[in-house]
Amino acid sequence: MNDKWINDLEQKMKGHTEVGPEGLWEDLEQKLFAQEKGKVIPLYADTVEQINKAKLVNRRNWVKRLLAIAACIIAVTTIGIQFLKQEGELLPNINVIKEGERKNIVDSKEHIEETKELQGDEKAIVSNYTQELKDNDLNKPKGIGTNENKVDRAVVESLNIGQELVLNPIINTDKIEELSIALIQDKHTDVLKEGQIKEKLVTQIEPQKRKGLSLGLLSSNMTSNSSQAQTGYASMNGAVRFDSKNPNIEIANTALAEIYTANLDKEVNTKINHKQPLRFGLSVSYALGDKWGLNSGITYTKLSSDLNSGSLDNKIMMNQTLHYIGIPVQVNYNIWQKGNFSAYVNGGALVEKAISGTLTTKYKIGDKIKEEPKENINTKSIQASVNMSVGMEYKLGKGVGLFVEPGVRYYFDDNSSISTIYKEKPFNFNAQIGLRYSIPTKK
Amino acid sequence: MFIQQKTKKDMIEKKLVERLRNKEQAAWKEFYEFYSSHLTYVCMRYIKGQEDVRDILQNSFIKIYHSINKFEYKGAGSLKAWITRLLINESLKFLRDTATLESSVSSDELPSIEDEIEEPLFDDIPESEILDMIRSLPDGYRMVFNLYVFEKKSHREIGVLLAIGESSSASQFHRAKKILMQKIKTYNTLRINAL
Repeated sequence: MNDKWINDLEQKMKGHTEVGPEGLWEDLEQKLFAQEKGKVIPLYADTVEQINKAKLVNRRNWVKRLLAIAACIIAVTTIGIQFLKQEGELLPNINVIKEGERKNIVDSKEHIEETKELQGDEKAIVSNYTQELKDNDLNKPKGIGTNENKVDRAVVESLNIGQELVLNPIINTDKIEELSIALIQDKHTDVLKEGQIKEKLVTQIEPQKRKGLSLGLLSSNMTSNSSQAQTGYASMNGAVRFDSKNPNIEIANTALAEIYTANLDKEVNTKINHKQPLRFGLSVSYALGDKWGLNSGITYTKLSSDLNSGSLDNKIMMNQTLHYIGIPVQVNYNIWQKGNFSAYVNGGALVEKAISGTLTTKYKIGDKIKEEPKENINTKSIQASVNMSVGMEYKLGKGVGLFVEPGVRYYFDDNSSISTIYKEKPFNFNAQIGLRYSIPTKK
Repeated sequence: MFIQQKTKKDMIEKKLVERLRNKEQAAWKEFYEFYSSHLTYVCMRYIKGQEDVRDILQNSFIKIYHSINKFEYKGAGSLKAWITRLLINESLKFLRDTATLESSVSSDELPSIEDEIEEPLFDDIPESEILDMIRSLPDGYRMVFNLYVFEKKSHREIGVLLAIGESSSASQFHRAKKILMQKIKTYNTLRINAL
C-alpha cells in the first residue's frame, strides 16, 4: 500500500490548531497563582480525582477478570497427544553369575567378588536393601535357570546406583533367612516395543495479551508403554524384603520357594511393563508484554507399573502405583505472529514428588494364587524434569485457538530405589495438540 | 535574513523559558495563549471526550508548571516539543487507565475492506474534518496511528510505549489506515452526491 498519502496527511495537519477549552486559563490561574489568604488550593485535586476514577475502573475490571477466570477453571480441561520415542535396542542378556557347576556352594563373599568381575560394563539400578546370605549350609544343588548359565547362589549386596548388580536367589527350603534380589536394570535389556498413540483434545487457557492472568486445566497421557524383559528373577525396586521386619515374610518365603522349585527346569525371565503416565493439572499463566509469558501451576501424575517374574505358570506378579504431585514452571516466548497464526517457544522445569504409592505382590504357583497384603511405598526423593517445546497456534475466533506443540522432556534421576518409566525413558519426545482459550485483557 | 529571524525567535523563546522558571504569572499567561491551541489539537487527536480533553490539558499545564525547572532549553522549538511530549504522555496514561475491554476491536468485527490501490484524495477536506475522522478511529488504532504518523515513532517504540508487540503495532496501523481511507472515500462520495 502506498503510504505517500500518509505523509501528505501529516503535512496537511501540521500547524493545525483548535480552540482551547473555555475558561481553562482562569482555572489554571486559580490553581497555580491563587494567593487568597488562608485558602489552600490543592494543586493536584483534579489529577487525584482522575486517578481515583481510574482506580475504580481498574478494580471493577479486575473483579470481572477474576470471575471470568474462576468460571473458566470449572469449564475447561486439556488432554494431550504425545508420542514417545522408543529406545528399543535389543541387548544381550544380562550376564548372571557364572558359576560353572550347579553344585558348588561357596561363601557369599567370594561370590560377590566374582560377580563384580563379571559384570563389567553393565549398569544397574539397585535397591538400598542389603542382605547377606548367611546360610552356609547350602548343600543342595539349586539353581535357577538362565539362558546361559546355571547359578547357584544368591548374591547379596546392595549397591548404589551405577555399581554392579546381581543375582539370583538360592533356594533353600529349609532355611531362608535373608535373601535379597536386586533389580538389574540396564539400558541394554530387551525392550519390548509397544507404542500406542491415542488422540485426544487439548484445551488450555493461556495468556495472549499483555498483563493477563489466565488459567488452564490440563491432562496429558504419554502414550506408550515402556517394557523391559530380562532373564532371571528380579523385582521392581530392588530387594524383596525378607528380613524379620517384613510381616509378609512367611507368605513370601514359602511362595517363593515353591515358585523356584517349580521353575527349576524352566526358563525364567522378568518382564516389567511401565504403563503410560496419566497427568492432570491446573496451570496459571501471566503474560509480561506481548512476547514473554510465565506459566506455573500444579500437576498430578499417576505412574503404574507391572512386573512378572518367573515362568508362565509360576511367577511373582507385582503392581506398583505411584501418585506424584508436581509444580511446573515454564517460560513462554512468542516468536512470531501474523494474522491468525502465531508461533512460540516454551521451556521450563517440573518438580514432582511421589506423595503416595502402593505395591501389591501376588504369587502364582500353577493354579494357585497367593496374595500379599498391600504395601505402602514411601519415598522422599524429588523428581525433576526439564522440557523444551515449540508451538504453533491458529486462532479460530472468539478467543479459541488450535495449537500443536512438539517438544522434548528429560527426567532427571531422582536417586531413589523405585523403578519407574521416568527412569527407563528419561528422555522422551512428545507432541501435544489441542484447543486453547485465552481470556482477553484490556489493551 | 532567515538565520537572523531564527536567532531572534530563539532568543525570545529562551527568555520566555527563563521567565517561566521564575513562575512569573504574566509569562505563564503568554505561554498559555501561545501554545494552548496547538496542545488542544494534539490532545483532541488522542482523547475523544470533551471533558476529558479539558481535564488532561489542565493536568498537563500544571505538570509543565511544576517541572519547568527540569526542562533544558535546546534551541527554538524545543519547548514546543517538550510540552507536546508531556501532553501525549498524559493522554496515553489516561487512555491506559480508562481503557475498557471493548475498546479494542477484534479482527472478526472489522468489516472486511478490500485492499485499495488508489490513494484517497483529501486535499479539499478541511482539517477539522480530518481530525474528526481520526478521532472516530477505535482507541487502540488511533493511538498507534497518531504515534506513528504525527509523532513519528517507530513501531518498536510504539510497542514499548503501549506495551504491545512491534508486529501488533504494525497491524493496528495497517487497519487504522484502512478505516481512515474508507472514511475519506465515504466523505468524498457523500460530498459529490450532495453537489
